[in-house]
Amino acid sequence: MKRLVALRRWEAATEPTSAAMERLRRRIVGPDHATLLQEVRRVDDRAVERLRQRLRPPFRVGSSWVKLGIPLAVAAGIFASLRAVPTGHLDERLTAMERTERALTPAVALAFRGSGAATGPFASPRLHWDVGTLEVEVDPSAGVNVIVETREATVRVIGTGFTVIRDALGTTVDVAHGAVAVSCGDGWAGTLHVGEHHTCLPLTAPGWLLRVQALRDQGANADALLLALDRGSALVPDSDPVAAELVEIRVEVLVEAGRTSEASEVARRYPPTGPRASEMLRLTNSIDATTP
Amino acid sequence: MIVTSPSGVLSQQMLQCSPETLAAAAAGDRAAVDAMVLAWGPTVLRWCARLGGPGVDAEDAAHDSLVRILGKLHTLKDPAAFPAWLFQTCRSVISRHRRHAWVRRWAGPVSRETPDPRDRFVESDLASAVQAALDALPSDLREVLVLCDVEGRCDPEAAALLGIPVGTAKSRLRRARDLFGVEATARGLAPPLLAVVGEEP
Repeated sequence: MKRLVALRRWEAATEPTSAAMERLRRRIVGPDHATLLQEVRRVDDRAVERLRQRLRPPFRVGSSWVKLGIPLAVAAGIFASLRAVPTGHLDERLTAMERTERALTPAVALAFRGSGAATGPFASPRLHWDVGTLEVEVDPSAGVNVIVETREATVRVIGTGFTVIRDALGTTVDVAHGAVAVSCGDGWAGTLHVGEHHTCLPLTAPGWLLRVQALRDQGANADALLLALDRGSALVPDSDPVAAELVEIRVEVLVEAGRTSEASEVARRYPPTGPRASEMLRLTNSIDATTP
Repeated sequence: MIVTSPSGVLSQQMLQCSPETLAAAAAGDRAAVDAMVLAWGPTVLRWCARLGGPGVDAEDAAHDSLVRILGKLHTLKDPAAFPAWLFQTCRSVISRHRRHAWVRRWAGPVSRETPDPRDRFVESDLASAVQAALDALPSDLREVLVLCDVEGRCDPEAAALLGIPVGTAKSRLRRARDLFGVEATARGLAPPLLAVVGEEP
């Protein structure tokens, strides 16, 4: 099969990631939707008919909203009578090298690989997550208020499923079903719904340094890297060793992007008595040697 | 593996998602819906990304396409026609999203503050030039070029998806390659990249 070379190469660049595919799948096959339908089907048809006959105008019994609303109301009542708010108190570490699933409380299930802690009463547990991936499922009918905290973010949920990943890039919250309220330390706040995700960015210069290194490993373009370097550099004075590390990476990024005059300018402004002065001198000499 | 039936062309995806699975999905069976999404979701996402262009959120368009398909699955009479029906639904959804792309440009993307580097739609000179050249093509030429030269589908399969005769698909592909070559050259793609070659051994 003959094909244009450019388009064959472009095929790989536009292949969907497994993460994108999983987000799409969750948007279509949400477990809460299917579970709700199963509960609706189990409602006693005779009870529905009795309710229908009691409804007075102007409620039009034939409308689709009422047809859905009646069994939903009955199902909600059944759930409420069967469920009770769980009791108990949490104070434990959560650590696993491999993905581990367990029930934290009767209403909260976890799957995690990494390290953190769980504290507080069963009715309002707090999960302090340090590093790794944490998946949380909260029974929506239990009325449990779960809070997940990391260095960058606070996530509040009532009945939903979501994932929190804390790594070099920051804290990423990804919603499987339901909705969560996210507050980031950098000021961003909002509600995430099914299929949506947000990354709360680092709050410290070392955090931004880690993020820049992770972005470089993933092949991010020069503009994204320079933006991240700007964010990190703004958090520390020039004399700080982390600031020097950020400057060195900035010079490398500019050189890799072919912006050698800018790279030379940045390298020459570095103080000769700074902690990485020798590296800057090496880079400046390297630029001068290759620039015509 | 391509399997040819008397009624048209079936791909490996149809083998993973049988007519019985489609019927169960139409009836609302969750496992069947999941199987259908697993079998066809990546293809729908690819079509939305490649035909939608940078102004379209591929995941939003793919979600809309699959929801529309699931809602109307019960009207499908011939399961063998499912791939073509799926493609034409995607095409309609993509067209609507492209018309409304100006809203996304004004309002900004949903839930992503900067281009997420973990997405593999990597910014590069080649990708940008190819995307821009494809966007400049009329939609019918863009579609046949994506199906044949990006996804490697043969002429009969592309024709079946597009709902046109094989001869028409071939002539459109020729015109599409010529026009793409003009647009891509204007955007700096080197001539060797515009050669038409067979698969490497």
